[in-house]
Amino acid sequence: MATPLLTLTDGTVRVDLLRPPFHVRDVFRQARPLWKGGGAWRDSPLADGRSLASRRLTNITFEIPFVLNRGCDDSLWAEWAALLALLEKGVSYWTTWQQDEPVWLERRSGRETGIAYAIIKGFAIPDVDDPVHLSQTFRQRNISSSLYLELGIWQSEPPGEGHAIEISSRYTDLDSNTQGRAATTLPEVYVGNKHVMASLTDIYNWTSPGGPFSANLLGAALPFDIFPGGAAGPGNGDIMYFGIDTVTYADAGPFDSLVFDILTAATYGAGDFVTWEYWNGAWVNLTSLDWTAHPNGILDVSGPDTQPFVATGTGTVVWSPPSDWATVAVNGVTGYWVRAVVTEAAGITRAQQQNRDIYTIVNPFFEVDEAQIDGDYPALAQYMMRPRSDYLSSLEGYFNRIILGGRKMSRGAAFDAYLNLSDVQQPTGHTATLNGAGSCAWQSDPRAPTGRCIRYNPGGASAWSGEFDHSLSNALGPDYAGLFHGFLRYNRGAGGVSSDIQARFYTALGTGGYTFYDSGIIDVPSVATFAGLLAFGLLDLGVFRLPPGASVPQAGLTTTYLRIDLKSTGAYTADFYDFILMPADECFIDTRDPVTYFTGCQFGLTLGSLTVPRSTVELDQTLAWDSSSGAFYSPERWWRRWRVDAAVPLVLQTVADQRIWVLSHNLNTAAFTDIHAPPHLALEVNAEAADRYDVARGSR
Amino acid sequence: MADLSTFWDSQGLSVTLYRPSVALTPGSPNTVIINPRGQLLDDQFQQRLTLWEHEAAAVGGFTHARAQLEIQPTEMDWWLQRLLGAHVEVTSGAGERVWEGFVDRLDVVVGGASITYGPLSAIMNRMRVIYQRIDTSTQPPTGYEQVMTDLAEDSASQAQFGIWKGYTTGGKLTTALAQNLRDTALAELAWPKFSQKITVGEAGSGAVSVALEMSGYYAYLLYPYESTTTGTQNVDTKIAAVLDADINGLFASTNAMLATNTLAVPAYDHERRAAWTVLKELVGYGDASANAYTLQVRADRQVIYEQVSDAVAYEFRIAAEAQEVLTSDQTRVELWQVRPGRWMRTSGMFVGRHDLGPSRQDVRYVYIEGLTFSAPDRLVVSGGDVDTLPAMLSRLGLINAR
Repeated sequence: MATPLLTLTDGTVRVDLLRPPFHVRDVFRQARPLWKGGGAWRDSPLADGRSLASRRLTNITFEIPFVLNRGCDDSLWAEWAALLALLEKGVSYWTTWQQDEPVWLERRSGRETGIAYAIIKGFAIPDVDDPVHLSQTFRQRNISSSLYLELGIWQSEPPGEGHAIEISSRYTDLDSNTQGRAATTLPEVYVGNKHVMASLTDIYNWTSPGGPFSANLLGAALPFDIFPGGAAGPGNGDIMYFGIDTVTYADAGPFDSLVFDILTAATYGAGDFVTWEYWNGAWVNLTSLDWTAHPNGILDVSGPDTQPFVATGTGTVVWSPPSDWATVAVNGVTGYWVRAVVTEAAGITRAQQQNRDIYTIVNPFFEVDEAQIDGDYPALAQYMMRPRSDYLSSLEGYFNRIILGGRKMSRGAAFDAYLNLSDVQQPTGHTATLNGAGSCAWQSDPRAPTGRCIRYNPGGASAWSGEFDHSLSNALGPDYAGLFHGFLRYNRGAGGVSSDIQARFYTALGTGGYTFYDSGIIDVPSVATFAGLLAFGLLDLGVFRLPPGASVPQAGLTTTYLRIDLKSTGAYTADFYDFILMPADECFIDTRDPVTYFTGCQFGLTLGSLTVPRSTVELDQTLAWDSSSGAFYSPERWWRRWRVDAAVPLVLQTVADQRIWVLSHNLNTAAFTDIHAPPHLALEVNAEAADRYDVARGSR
Repeated sequence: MADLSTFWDSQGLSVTLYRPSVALTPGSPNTVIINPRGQLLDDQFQQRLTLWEHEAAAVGGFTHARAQLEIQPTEMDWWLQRLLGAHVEVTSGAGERVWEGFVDRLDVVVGGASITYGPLSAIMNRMRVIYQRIDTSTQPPTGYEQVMTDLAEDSASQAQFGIWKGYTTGGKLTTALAQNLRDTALAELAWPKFSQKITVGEAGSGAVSVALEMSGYYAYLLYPYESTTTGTQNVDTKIAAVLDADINGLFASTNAMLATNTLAVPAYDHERRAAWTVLKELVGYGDASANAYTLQVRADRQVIYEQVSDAVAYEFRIAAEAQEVLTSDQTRVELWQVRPGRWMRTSGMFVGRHDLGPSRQDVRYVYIEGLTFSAPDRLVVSGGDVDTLPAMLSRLGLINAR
């Protein structure tokens, strides 16, 4: 059985209250976390009883009656001073800037397995019995008193720390196979900025000069060679093809990333490289960010010409789908293709894929399994996020705003925060509909998340009319019960001022039924383009509750509609891509770089409530490598702190499967008024958490 | 009442009290130079305080402060003689001036007696009477030309408190009656007033409680400003002229940072309005593009006139346990360091809304028009967004009506 523990410490100095010279006089008394002010209650003289409206937890208090004894007064007071010094340090953590080390209490009873940790927020030693010893003869010197500690909630780790938790992001591909990353604590989970169904269907390599094509490498036995040539490595002119078959699969479409897991890393000689290309009637260069190209701590990622697969482990290649990307037949398969063409001068060695299929990022979320979070209260969490969609700014794939919303899967596994405004790639129960007013039509555009979108083109001044909606079947109703902050992704065509196109968002039940939430009139502004790429604007639709008008989710109500009315003062156009419903009723956090900066893949972002216990939630930006030399920093260097809007700490729900939905932005003007949300933004994520307990940890 | 015993030391703040020296040169009229730091009275005055609260405003700078202390009955006479008009500086360990002003009024409570001394800013020790002169040589009397009496001054009051200039408006008077009114008014207004309230039967604690009401030096900008210059001048030029007209040597355009504002305003000003009234009007004009401006009297009576910046200086985390105020780069700010005339953003509410920056469209932003800091840890900020319409209407001499 474990040794009982009751220790005050700052991680270096330890005062063990259960060991001489300290002796515990009596049982400890611990006051559980209560509700501040007794909670906020709603009451009515016309109703029986009252109902709880909100509550927040108080600190806990812990009483430790003790006796401190020593053989002489000097050593007695020395021990007393050591105790007080640690307690003073603990409270100074809260009252001063310069004292930035917390002090905490570690606790474990004699027949308990786990140690619980609680940060010290205050203390009192109200009186001391017999502090003056008059005798000069040897006699045990005693101080008898009680230590009252005011503590934060018990945690599974010391304040400022957490334990790695497994997260995942998987999906079912067009062939009904599972793709993506299974649960891991490693930084190998990738989160995108769209939710689509189009997944890789074909991967081939081709041996120069006359072929042949390999068999489809998707689903091939692992490990397999990515290059042709097997153990000998590729030859000059060899090509790797990665594609999505748009003929066989109705829910096919363009894609913007590849995720590799390299077992055997390639090596390159002088003059060896690979060129990433796409088809627009001919094979042309594809500007990409190749994160597989960073051997030996030196990064070389800015393509089309790179030296990929040189680092073992997971790595991504990300691009912004070009506007002229066209389908083409490769090895008899017509679809969207990208390819990597080998230029060999000295000699390139083999590169092998391991562990899982090469896949493309389609999920804008990561998942936490219920086994990962224990405790009695929601666990404090921390997410380590590394941008993977931009090097500096050439891809418009940098980050300076990230919104996260958590939602338990038990509230509805079919919930999807990203509702495509597309006539393809709609999950069961979802339908996007043009309402026949004549100003909207389906439009193909490889830059759209699904390759299809709704184009508003009234051709002249147009009065308000209901133009399109996204409906959720009655069966989906319960899965969508909750509070959401809604956004609408769009691109505004050229010309006019912001108010020349205006939108109005409604939630409604039934086609001719009641409307509920009404956003009011919202201007649809032009968003400045960047690097010649498409500007993905994001309208803020406000906060609303679903199902409309229903306080209790019920299946079989009727269809829920998310509806857009539009108006134009002239012949202006806009494309609409998707509604994004960020869950806002569990843990909803909006973070933003406080100054204009291109937060590309040279930075790391640590968002959470672990590292700085005295702060509710922080996002620290670190510099991962020097963009001029390409050298990596270990540890990463602190760069600056982002602004965080959060009404609650960053938490994960206890013993619950949950998804953390992510919506990322970049803002391309000094005033931060132009909101961009490109679908190809990609983050690499791993996570930590500290479980929280009521009065004791036990074996958890 | 909050315990301030550890506040001052832990924050590295000190409150210093000086007896100003006033150099008076007799003449017609007298001239005066006030040196607020004439004689050091107490450089650890904070140790005596049981209450401290100060206010600052986007237009005004350091405006008001309140303090309370307890003294022994034997000290009462000493403090009563020296506190009124005393120069007060609150300074951080880094030398930053947190607040500055002078003691404008005292409220002393001793046992059942309550004595009020001041306010200093209400005295007038240089006086004229404006009246309509009656010509008694005709039947009936005629005339009614508006004229002013000669100056009358109380040099003894000026030598202690500086010059507080004012006008009394008479009606239809003869010159002799007007001069009599002037002299009577001067005799009654030249010195701070005492008032007392005595409650019999109320127990006292043995200590004497002194409440100080302090004003920032903007209150010395009460001298009437007059200019007979014709034509127009730039706003900043006129502000400089108003400051240079100071009669106590406290303000000067050479001790000011005045942003260039080429908006042309009339130079002529002959309504005998208080300098502070004229300055507020000039600030209200904004500039030709209707940008808003602030004018603050800060450390050492330096006057700062500048355009309101769109930069967000502070962030208040409303949902944080620590209730912190941060700079925009997320560095913690002590509450006494917060300054008016800047934008503050509240985070932790309206989460997820697009951030529209400092503007009337985003309720999370507030322009700090005024603030009150109460030691040790309370800050009340008042404000809204920066309106340019009042500036424009002010310039056009219009009002906004419904």
